[in-house]
Amino acid sequence: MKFTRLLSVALTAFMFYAVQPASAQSVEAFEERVTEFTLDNGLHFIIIERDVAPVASFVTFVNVGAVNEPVGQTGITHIFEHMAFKGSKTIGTTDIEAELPLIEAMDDAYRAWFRESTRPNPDEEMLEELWEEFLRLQEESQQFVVNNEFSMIVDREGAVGMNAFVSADETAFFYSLPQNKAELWFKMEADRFMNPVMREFYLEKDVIWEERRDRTDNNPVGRLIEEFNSVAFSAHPYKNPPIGWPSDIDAVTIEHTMEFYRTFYVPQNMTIAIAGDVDPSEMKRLAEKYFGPMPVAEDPPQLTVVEPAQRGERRFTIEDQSQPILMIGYKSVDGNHPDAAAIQLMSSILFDGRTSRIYRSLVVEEQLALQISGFNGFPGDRFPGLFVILGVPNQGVEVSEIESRIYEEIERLKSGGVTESELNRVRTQARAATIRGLTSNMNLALEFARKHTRTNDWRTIFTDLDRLNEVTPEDIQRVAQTYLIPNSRTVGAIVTRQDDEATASID
Amino acid sequence: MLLLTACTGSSQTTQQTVDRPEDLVFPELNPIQVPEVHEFEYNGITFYLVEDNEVPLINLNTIIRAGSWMQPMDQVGLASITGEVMRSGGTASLSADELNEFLESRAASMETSFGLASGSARMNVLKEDFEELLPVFIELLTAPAFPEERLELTKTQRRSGISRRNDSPAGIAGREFQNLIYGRQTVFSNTLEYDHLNNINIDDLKAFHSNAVNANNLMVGIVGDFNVEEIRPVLEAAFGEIEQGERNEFDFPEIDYTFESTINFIPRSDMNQSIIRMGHIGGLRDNPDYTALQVMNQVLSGGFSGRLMQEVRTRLGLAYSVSGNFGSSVLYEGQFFAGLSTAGETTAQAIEATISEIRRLQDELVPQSELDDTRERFLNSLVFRNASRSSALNEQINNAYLGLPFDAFERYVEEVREVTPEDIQRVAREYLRPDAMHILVVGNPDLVGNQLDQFGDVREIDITIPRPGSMETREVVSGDTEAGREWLDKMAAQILSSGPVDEIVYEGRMQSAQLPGGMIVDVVMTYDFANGNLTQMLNTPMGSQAIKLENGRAFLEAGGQRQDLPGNFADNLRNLLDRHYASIAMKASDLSPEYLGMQSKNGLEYAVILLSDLEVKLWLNPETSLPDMITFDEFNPETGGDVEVVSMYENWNEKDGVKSSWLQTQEVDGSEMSRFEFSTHSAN
Repeated sequence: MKFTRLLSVALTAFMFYAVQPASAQSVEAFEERVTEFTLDNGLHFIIIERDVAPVASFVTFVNVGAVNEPVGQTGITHIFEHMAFKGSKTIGTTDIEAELPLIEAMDDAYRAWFRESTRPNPDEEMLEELWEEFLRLQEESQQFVVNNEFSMIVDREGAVGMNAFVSADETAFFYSLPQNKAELWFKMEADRFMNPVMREFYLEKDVIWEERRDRTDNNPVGRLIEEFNSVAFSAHPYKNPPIGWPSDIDAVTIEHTMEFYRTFYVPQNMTIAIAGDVDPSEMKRLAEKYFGPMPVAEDPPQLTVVEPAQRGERRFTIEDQSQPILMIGYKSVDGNHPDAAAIQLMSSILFDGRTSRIYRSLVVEEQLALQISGFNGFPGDRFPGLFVILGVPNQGVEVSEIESRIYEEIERLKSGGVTESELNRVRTQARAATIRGLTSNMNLALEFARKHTRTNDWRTIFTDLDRLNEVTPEDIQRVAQTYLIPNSRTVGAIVTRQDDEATASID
Repeated sequence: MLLLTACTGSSQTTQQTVDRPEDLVFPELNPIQVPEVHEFEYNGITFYLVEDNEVPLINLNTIIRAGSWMQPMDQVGLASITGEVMRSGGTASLSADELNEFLESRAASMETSFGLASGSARMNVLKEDFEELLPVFIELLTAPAFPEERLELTKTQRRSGISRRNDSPAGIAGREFQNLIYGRQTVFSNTLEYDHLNNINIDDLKAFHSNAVNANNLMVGIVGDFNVEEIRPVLEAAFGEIEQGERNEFDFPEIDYTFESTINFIPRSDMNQSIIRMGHIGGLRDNPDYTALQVMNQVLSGGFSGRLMQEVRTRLGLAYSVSGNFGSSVLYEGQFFAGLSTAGETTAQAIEATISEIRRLQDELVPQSELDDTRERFLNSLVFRNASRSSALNEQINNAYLGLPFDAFERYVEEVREVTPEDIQRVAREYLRPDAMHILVVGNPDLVGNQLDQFGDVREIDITIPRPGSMETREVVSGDTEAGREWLDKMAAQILSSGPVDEIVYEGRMQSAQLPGGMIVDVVMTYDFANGNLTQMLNTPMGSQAIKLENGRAFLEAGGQRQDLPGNFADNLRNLLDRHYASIAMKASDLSPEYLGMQSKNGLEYAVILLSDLEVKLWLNPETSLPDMITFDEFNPETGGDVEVVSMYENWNEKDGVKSSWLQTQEVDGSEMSRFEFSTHSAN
């Protein structure tokens, strides 16, 4: 299961595709193929008919991300996401009646061990006993487990692309099936979100530990990003890594995870989108049959933390066994803010494509950077995040050199503005990228579900494009002057650890 | 099997009432619309067309029969750089910048590239721009400008890429495993080096391009919002201009593979995880056992339902990502591998668990139910083969390019239906050699410890990036060997007045560019020539610190902690020891000195002796015969170039039968890096 919006996304090169028709035309075209309904319990469905092939993609989008995690439980969103592949009360077990009490006992044992291990002076002998007891119960509960049964069942029926992701902002689960097997998806999906069982919980945490090692601990960019967010944000949970801080991954128990599930996996906090060769009325019938029984629940708590204004520039350096990398972030706005469109276009003018200003100057003409990219909305855009820039200097170039050149380009934009033709070019590209992204079932379902979750209306995909048309060169200059200021800046860099230093000083 | 147990198990419990997903009855699948691929030939080029009017776009791809298999071994990167500069340099009529603006203002894209076995030039444009952009595309394909400065830009970037290639442990593992399977510097495993870049010039790009692009090397696939009848004459007019020429034939060298078991380790002290790859050579597509091997692949590593994922990830919790494949390529033997990453502490356990899954394929018949599940997964997902119109097109072009029958996939599907558990066991026994695999681990030596010893003799792979010039034969400088011998013997006699010594210890103070501004610290340097060890002990106000070279390994000791230093660090320390004047004096008779004549440096005259064995020059004071300077070039990985290192020796004193310099200064490229003022030395 993976995270999106890691900065590696921004590291990939610029590819864009084109379509120019008026966006309204596209909204109309989609209106004819889109059916929406909301069940009595509040669960919203969007069905997008697309009959290119007899297949369909299914997305369950949950309005919960790492930002919603309780203190001391970072990573719990991601842990639950992993657990959602472990089956239910009927899938993944040979005897649920025998299994459930053992899982509960195993969790009690873990909590007893964890409590002891985190005391100031833990009793080593007792610790060992408690751990043995936990291992015994874990092994005992294992005997009822049917390994990966959930995925075996859907795989066998021809599922492709089964996966899920958690980001700072959101969680999504998805896969595609032959269209005639839609009912299988309804049955399995409703079951896993109505009857989750935390089997193999602590073994799965070992897997998550490996995931953390893969993505963060042993990856220079992963280490830089984790450090960066924790420096850039003071109060807002955007400071926390979605994979979780190490001690929190250890601390989270089944009890916590079930509490988290009961709080956030409620019908009104979920959106389901289905795109493909499906019949909307049949989808509605199945939705009522399988998801209708999902109980009505209280609204989940809102995140009320607001990041306070930053009082000055923040900087840090990581000495690493890696070549240098530079990261710069400015406090910015959320995706629904009126300035978001202008910031997006400003970012494109600076960074996107071979005609962008910074690519032309720093990469091609001055050959200072191997790669420079930038975009708004990091680590998320549900709340005000960062306008972030990632720079990879060429061999022999100091990070400070590309840093100051980036500032010069930003100042040039602030004082000189942009031309109408630059603006038109990036607008065309933005529109093209959006439309081009809507030509696969999976992208359609994900994008429609996300937009509905954020704005309560999938049509925002297209009205956002209209907002791009209203942006003027003056707007671009104004947002640069407003947001790209040193006081709200965080700068982090990897510099190569000088292990070789000593060589020079020995003789 | 697992499903069956689940059902029988649950029937005895409370779940009799619960209907199982297996009980669902599905309606008929809606008909599959296989898109029609129109095919025609013109000017020696085969065209494949598929109409798709979902969005008003046209996507055209030209496959070019050329690839890196054609490039000389000392010009690794030539094919891919040609592909890059073809696009980045623009054409005769549109400069690079003009082309970029032209395309981006229309939200169109054109890209070119060459891989191992094929090249590609492609464009994606709005349908109304197609006719305007097609001539530009043809010019980009046939007459790219190849300006010198764009080649230089690409080379700069590739050099940066080389310097960064050891930043990602997974990248190291993938590259070095490939080297283990195919050997270093082969068509199949050719790591780009600085020297290769220095061997590539603009004429090489033009020559490669001209061998690649002619009508007889091209195939064109096009999908999008057009009408076949209308677009055909447009394509014929545009591609009809391209000259015919000689068709390139695939010419891949035979892979001479010998099965052997090796255990390879690459130490990285900053990791808490081990990246593991294991395997051996794979097979060819043209093999009657291809299908059985593919089904075996699915049993072993077919996603979440595969055995590696089930066992190593889910049941043992040893890894997040686990993968494997028995690779079979049409043109050359692929590789069989299994790979995963796991905590440093569980390295051996993870290797064992993976090997045991490979062995199980040989030792036990795959249960029929597991095989049926595996087969069903594949057959049920076939409907996705035509999930987009371009997929049918790509399949057909791919078969034609590689010379496979057009119905290769259909035949494969039929064969999959026939595979039996016995087939899988037979091919597993015939093609898998778990006893003769290359095992590669990139990990932290402190965490891995001696875990790998149980698998065999561990050999360390040196991943130091070769500096420019190291691959070519060094420039031959011929000097006077007789005079060289005379000078060197004189120097040796001066330094060692009573024969060889085992060890020299210096005590004194030092300052260094790496120490905080102007700080002077106490230092003790121990050169242990007899054992090849070296210690620098510093006493600073912050505590003491020792850098040591011991038994070929370098590490740092401070505050009771010991930290490994990277391999290139050990190399540098070894050089210091080997290039020390006393060391040179002791092995003088084994060296081949060449006298290069009297040369002046800093206004003084020196007798210059080249020691090519050690890659150093001695600058001997003609009056004393002592080396007032020793110089050598050192590669700086950060700049990708060589820097000149000059060590200056003054204030010579004799003690314990050894003449030693008590004032030693080191300059790198003209700036002072360190300065040692010794108060004494001792030798024994």
